[in-house]
Amino acid sequence: MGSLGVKFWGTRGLVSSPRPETAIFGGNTPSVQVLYRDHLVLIDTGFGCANIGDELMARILQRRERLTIHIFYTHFHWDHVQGLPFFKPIYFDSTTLNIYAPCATEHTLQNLDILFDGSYSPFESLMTMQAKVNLHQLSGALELDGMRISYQAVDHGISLPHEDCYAYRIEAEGESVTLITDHEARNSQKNKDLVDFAAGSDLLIHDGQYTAEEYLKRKGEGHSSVEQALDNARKTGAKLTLLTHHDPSRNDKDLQALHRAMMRIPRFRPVRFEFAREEIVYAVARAKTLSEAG
Amino acid sequence: MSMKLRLLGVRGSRPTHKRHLLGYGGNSTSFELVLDDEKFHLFIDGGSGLAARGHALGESPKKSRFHVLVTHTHWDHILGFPFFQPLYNPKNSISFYASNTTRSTFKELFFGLQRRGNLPVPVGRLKAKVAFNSVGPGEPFTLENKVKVDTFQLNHQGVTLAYRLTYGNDSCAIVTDNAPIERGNYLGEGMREAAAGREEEFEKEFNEGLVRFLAGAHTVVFDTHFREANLKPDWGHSTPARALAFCRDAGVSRLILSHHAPEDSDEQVDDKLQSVFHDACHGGIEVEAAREGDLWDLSA
Repeated sequence: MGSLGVKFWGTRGLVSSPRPETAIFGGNTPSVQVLYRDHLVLIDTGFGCANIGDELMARILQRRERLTIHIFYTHFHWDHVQGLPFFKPIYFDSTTLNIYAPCATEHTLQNLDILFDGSYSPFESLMTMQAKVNLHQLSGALELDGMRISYQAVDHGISLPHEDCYAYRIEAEGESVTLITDHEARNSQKNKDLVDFAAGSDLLIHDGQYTAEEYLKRKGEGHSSVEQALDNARKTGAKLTLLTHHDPSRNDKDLQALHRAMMRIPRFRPVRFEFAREEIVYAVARAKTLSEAG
Repeated sequence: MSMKLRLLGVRGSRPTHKRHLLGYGGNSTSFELVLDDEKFHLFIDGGSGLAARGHALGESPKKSRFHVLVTHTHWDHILGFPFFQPLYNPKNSISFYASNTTRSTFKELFFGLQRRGNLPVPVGRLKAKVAFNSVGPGEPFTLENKVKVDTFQLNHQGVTLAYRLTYGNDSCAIVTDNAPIERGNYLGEGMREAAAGREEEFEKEFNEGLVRFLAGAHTVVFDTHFREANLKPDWGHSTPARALAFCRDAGVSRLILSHHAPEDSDEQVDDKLQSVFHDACHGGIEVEAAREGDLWDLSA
């Protein structure tokens, strides 16, 4: 019985969108927790990471645990980093924070330090926070506590060509999760390579920010339409696909209507997918079971 | 001739989403002053609450003038600006009013939000005519000969300004963010120097100054992030009891408790309100808890 899964602490792209109409799917900017045994692993630190940070406080304060937390960054757009100064474990010297990205550590530091700048926050810099912060440059796949973590560049659009953005694949005990965010799944070599990268994943997390009509006005901006995401999902053969990075304007009812509309499209019938919901656990084991049940 | 106050975002520190707090709202600080002139737009701060409002405004092709007062440049008060749709309409003019600090001008920090590699929307789409006006504490100014703006430096990092707005008989003051000034807790730029050797006098001056500042307002929105029990003065925020004390001394008609802590559920905000309700009634002040979407009259 496997133990790999994910929990979304934020599913909203670009800017926080909390309101009663987004209660179900969520309004925090993205942060995905990889669940594997008792490890603490996050991909990106949008504002959603502050909520898991708050939950970890009981372990730090009452149980006096020394936490080691691993954070992997896909890229450094505000919505994917802005929660870090509000992630409470960072205020404690008992915390060790390992930060990973596929670029030079100076680049990572530069992009995270701005969040702690004294003009924008009551802090000074990332490295003057109480936690022990270790920056790592990823180079090839990483073996970490029984997980194998690999990465691949995504297509972040022609409007934003100067920064790389990466997909991650996590494998453990024969199970796998691939996360593809801020990727524009149009017909390109990069997309083909990504589909190969994600092929055979049990869980696929994929950017699905736009409807088809919206995408026509947003070509080249680095996000996928739901149809493009589902076409990728079909090609990878994932047992469960979770669409995320919901557009700020998208209400719960809109996502539900979109889900119904996609299921009416014949080529998407065999694709098992959901729009990702905040604070819900999606386990590989359960996805496998549902998939086998047909 | 009337001015009303709309609450676009009432959450402090950071925007947040959790089902138990959506009643009062999770968007971070932003306010709108609504005048009977529909071409005149006035906002205070650009927390995430401004992004949602901008979405509604942005669709409109009408040429409009926007004024945005900025209290200070902490993330929760400015992160919504890049998503404010009117900035992308070439027909619009948008004027920002903010203080500069010794570290930085507001203009530098505003464009800092658009850093390549950090801005999630394509840079260069900002098409409106944007102007930056430097304002200081105790330096009043008027917007389009309509709204008079008075300013006061608050006890918070940088040069954080309270704004008092007056339009005819309608007035309000926005006091966010502000910490108790007792026992050497001087957070604002220049305060430590001004207080040196005369702390007691300085603190008295500050408190009396704030009361005088509030006395001109019908409605006051005040930072009430903490309760007395969990107050951390050096974090830069205040409590309902202290907000009420200032408003009572100033003779204000209505106090709106705002800057709700991101950890606070709707129930906890209810409790916060109840904790000062009785005393407020005694003092003849109407007290409310800020709720996203509320629209308030600003006259008797």
